[in-house]
Amino acid sequence: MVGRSPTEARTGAGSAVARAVFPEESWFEALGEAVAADAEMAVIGRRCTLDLALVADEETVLLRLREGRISEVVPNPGISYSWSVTLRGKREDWLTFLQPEPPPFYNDLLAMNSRVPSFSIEGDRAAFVRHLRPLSRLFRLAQLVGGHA
Amino acid sequence: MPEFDPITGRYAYLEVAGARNRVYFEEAGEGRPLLCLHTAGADSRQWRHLLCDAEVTGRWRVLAFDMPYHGRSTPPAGWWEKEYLLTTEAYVRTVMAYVRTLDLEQPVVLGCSMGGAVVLELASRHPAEVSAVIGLEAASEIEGRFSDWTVMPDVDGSVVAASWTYGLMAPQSPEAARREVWWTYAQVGPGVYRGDTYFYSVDWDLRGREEKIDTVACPVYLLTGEYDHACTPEETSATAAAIPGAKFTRMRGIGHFPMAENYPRFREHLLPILRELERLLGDP
Repeated sequence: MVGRSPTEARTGAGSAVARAVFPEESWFEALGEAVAADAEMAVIGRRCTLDLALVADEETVLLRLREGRISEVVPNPGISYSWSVTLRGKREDWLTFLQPEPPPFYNDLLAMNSRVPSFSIEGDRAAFVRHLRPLSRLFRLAQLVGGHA
Repeated sequence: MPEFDPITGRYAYLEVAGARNRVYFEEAGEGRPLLCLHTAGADSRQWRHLLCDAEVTGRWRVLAFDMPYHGRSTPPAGWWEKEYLLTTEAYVRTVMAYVRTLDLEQPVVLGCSMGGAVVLELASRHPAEVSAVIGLEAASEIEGRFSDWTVMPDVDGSVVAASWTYGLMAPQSPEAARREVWWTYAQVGPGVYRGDTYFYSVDWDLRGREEKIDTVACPVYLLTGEYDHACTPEETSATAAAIPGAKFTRMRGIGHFPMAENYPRFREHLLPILRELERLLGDP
């Protein structure tokens, strides 16, 4: 665990996380707690308000971010929901990404977008880029939470 | 006693293509010059760990300069009326102007990313003046690194350049070191990261010219970290295979910024190469 400095070591799986598997609702609850508790996100997330969808195989989960917090998680959002950015991959892609030390090219969303054919960043990419810093932190927290039980 | 790094910083004036450039550089040590070239959108601070490594500086004069537009080097006059796009010609001329202005005799040139690419161009064009090259995170052609995101009016270009490149590093690299790379990137001038990737990913292309590099006159070492998704080890390996006599190393647990993101691990690869060059090249 060379790469995990005190900042990263502080962020970890809470008790709820031990039972959570991506992309189950309990997993998003665990991520929401990690994001809300994160000192860095408190600094950089204040102006991060964005709706994004995570797609794993056929399953879609809408993540509503408000001022750097996950304000709402909507599994299988119906026709009345809208969002700007879609992160689409196989369930296996996500589970490979969601660990503290993923293998090469699964460590970063942009890496996966360019080197993992089944993964893509879609939709309003300008919005993705504008929010890149807080989104990078959010997904780093997701990796530290881990995708598996 | 205050604590000091064993690094000296100075400014030199370089004439490049008729323009006068005030260029900042740092150096440490004595011996054959080891000239270090930084990555796109960054500066010589990336080499601070190497500059403080007594095992290297005991035998080498290590130098690292900020390219014009980068770090503490100012852009040439009239920069505000020109789009900054680094070309192969301008990059080679700038590095050679530095070598000649400082009267560096037979330096070994070590560069990373765009610096890693240009050292291959130096080996190709100036084997009589450059005694060997070590290229990190370079291949004959790099696809897809040039984009306009960092110059869009509704994008904070420096923060996006920093976050864009952050994921090029290995998760095993110490977080403090990765964060320092981010910090340095966040200080890039407007349009400079984009202009550098114009060289790295658009203008520069070694394809079809690899076999003309004479590695007897100028030995070539290429190393790439396994987490580098901009230039993969496979791409570097293919370039090394096309240059007769070039040596390739795949670096485990390292990404696109070996000397900055994880110097202790990188030096395990670098030191044997420097030892080999000491034997091969003899005293300067």
